Amino acid sequence: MKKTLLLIVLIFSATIAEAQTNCGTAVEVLLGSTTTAPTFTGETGSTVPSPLCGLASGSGSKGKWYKYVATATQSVTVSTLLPQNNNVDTRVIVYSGACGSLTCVGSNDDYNGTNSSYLSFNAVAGTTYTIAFDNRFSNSGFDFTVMVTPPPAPDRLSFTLTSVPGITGGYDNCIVDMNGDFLDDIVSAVSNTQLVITYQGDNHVFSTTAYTVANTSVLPSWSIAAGDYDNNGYNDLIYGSGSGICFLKANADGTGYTTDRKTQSYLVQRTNFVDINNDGKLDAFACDDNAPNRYYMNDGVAMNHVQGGIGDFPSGGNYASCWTDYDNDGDIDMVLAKCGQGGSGVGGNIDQLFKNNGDGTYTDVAASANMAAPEQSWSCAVGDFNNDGWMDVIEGVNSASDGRTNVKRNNGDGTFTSVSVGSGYDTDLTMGREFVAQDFDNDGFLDVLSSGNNIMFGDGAFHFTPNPNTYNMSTVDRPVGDLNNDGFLDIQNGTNVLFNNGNTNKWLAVNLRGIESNRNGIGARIEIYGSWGKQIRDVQSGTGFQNMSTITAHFGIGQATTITQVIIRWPSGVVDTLNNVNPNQKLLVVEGSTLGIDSFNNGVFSVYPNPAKDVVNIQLKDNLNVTLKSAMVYDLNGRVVLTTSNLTQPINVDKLATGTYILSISDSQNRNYTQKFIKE
Amino acid sequence: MKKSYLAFALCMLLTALYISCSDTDDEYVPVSPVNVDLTLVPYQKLSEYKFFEGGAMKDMVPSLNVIPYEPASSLFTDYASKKRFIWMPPGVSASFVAGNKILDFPVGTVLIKSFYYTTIQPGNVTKIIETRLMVRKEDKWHFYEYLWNDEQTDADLVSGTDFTTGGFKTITFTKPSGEEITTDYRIPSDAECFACHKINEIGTPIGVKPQNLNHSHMYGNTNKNILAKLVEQGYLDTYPANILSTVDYHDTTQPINLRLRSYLDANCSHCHQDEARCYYRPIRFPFSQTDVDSNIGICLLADEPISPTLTKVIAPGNYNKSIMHFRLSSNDESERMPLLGRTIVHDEGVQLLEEYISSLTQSCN
Repeated sequence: MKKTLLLIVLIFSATIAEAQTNCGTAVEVLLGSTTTAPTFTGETGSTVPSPLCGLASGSGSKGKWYKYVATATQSVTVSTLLPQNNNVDTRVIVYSGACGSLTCVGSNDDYNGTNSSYLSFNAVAGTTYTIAFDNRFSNSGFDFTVMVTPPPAPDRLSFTLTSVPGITGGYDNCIVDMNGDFLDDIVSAVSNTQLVITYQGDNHVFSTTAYTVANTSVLPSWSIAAGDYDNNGYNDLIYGSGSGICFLKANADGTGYTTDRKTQSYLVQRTNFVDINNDGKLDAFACDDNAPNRYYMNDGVAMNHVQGGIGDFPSGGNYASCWTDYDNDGDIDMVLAKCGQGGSGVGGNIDQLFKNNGDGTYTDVAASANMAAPEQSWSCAVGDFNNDGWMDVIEGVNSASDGRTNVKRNNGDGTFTSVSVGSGYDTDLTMGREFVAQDFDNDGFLDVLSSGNNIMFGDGAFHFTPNPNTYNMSTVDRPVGDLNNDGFLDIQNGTNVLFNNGNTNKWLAVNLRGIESNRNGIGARIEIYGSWGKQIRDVQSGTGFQNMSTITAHFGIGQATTITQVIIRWPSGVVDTLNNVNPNQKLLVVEGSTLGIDSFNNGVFSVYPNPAKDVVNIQLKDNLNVTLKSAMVYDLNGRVVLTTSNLTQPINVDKLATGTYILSISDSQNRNYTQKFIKE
Repeated sequence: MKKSYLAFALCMLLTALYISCSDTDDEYVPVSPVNVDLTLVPYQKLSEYKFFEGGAMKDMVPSLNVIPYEPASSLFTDYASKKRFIWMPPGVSASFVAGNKILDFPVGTVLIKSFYYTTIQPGNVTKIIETRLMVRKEDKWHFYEYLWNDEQTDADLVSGTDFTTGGFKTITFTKPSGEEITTDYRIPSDAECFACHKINEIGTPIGVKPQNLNHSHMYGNTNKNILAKLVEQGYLDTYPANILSTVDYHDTTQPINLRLRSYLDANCSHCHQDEARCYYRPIRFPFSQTDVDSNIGICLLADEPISPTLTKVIAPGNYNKSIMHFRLSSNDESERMPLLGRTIVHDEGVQLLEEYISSLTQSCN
């Protein structure tokens, strides 16, 4: 009798001890129940929960598995936040789907600063949810409850965290189109000799290619930026590291990359591609943390190192260079977010504002513009937050020692005024390194991807409201782009993507193809008009602190149905205007494509006859010390249809189809001049 | 190695004495060969200073009046070994300011620090990589960098753009654990020297505080307190008896918290202190301040959380939830601490930190 009982007890205990050790034998728990999970100690052969669904700090070595079959659709909470647990350290992950192909529903660790786990999710009737705990931080046993709880406040905008096969990791900080199809791709710098690109194809299908590259020596450990600095149609990269920079230049068809490691070794922070001297060729800029900023001037052959002239505080403190035309004079200026010693201070933390003098030189006008503030900013979110046609600046802080994140309104007269009070940033106590302006909910008002793992949604009047629930994103690596081509911006998080679930708002995406200007149109100002008035974007490469986000200019227009006008103000001075543009589309604007054939005035040459039949003659204007070198003819989709380097005789256009074309001629200094012509 | 160096030094000394005595009947006054003309410094070659005795310069046997010293705990720089020396011109001396303050050095002072490895592969040989000088001129401290040649016969001044941009030397060496490491050893630029060596944007030495020198060191065959030696040499005016001093973090007979606090002082406090580079962070790592929980980061919420799990600088009892541990364990350039001076993890430092955090029992909530 005694023996039998013992045996039964043994069998029973064994069942309890082993039942919850893997997904297949998960113990069912009921709504409203409290379950005691035995200690992990002595447990053998249990399955470690995977994937971790956003939990940081690695895996445990053991797991406990339970399941809950939802009987109704309602908000359910799994919690170890119970007095009897005495703050025992637990982690929880909830999955849906079959064992072997589990899908993340959510995870939680250290709820609200405690060691407990507390996870609410929307349970759908009939679905089986697998609840897993691991022993990452403690082997102790604990109790947990599964309860109905009031649903969390509804998301203003929701994202679904989805694993994207092919993302290779290494550095997860770059979303940009790499193969010239104007669909954003995902760039992973894996090692000094490997670059992996996960290309976005049609219908959300991704394909991944690994490129072997010559030793880059450094990785984009501090920042990355992309831009087509040789204007060949394929974006190139710059890696910013603790030991200087390296360029990776795409070859003629974007199927290979050449390494150009620069010898200067210094602590790089933000990097950008930008046409510093507005010669139609992108230069590269690199913030130096310990010395005056560096940049690499593109002479058409090489990227030549320069130090000094744009942010020269002797011991640096340069964290983010935000390029924008703050004074609407048509050339690119730069807001420099700075961080340093602080306190009573020596000045290395005082932000700067560089006004473009129009001749490739820059002057710090921060003091007179009221931008010389000491806050410890690591990045600046630049955008027209109140849609008045002037670029405003949010200096995002990564330390509160010298003031909180500062919202600065552009007054339109060369000065800025802090409007932080009442903006929502005065009550937001979070800090971080990455602040980026985008319209995530497409309501027509710029938002800020902000610290505290949240988006601060703008209302067009400098009021920013966080989503009621934080998002499952990395605090540092969070590039932005449209990874499913639906007009709503997504955010990468490691090998996952937070896909934007969107709403009914309308949008417009604008891609540029520069001809006289740099091919990406970086530095161009895009304006859109409609019932909302006016919205503007500056095309930028390298926003926030360390990530590269899409170059595509992205607009939301709320519920408006028509865009009456789109204006592109190119760095070259060319202005393209498109009328009555349909929303919900990706627009590609080729520089000069909307101009009449008489509107060009390149100052260097003219063409005749125009319209042309068989040949185009080039007439160089008098008294010009210019040697024309080669010519390219583009159609209005930006495709090159003809190239020649023989300009001693007329250009034969005999074989071109009837239509309008742009002729772009380079001189011996690699400057470009354009003229439109019609082929009859 | 150490023994032969000592024997060599003794030998040289005795020979010198013997020769001098036999040469003349006058009282012998030995003359230091050291040559530091502040108007000509920096010299192109390290040998020109004559800081080291004749013979093989690579043995770094200090010339007369070049005094070796070593802080109780030292900065980790990719497992490099270091030899440090101080030299002052005749007739001047440093003044004691406070136990936790840099000595007030006279114009003409030179601090000499050589970085070398004893386990360079192949061959497990000793190689000196660089010698850094800090020279106190009339206006300020100047930083000079000398890179040793492959023959190890001399070191050349790094100057011009080479010094403004810094560089690296690829080396392979064996860690104490036996693991072989190949890394790009960083040769600092002028700006990188300054990034750590500054208070209020004014260049300063870091290690030569009385608190770090208040311990014994072998001078010849005598074990002597470094501060006492400096006084005896005429390099220091005086020092008090009761200096709150750091310990050697290797010394397991010392309490764990003193070892860790000494380690943080040597490795982190040059930036994380008042008026230094990272003044804007609330943590304060000078030894004299880390007896306060919030200064050392216990239960302190970091300005920049890493994840919901990694929010505190130090989570007592749990190093896996401590950002300090995360940063000391990381090699990623934008995560690791210290920011400059290392490319690989200091296993023994991380171990020390783990031991320290595990010993803490404070409750944060």
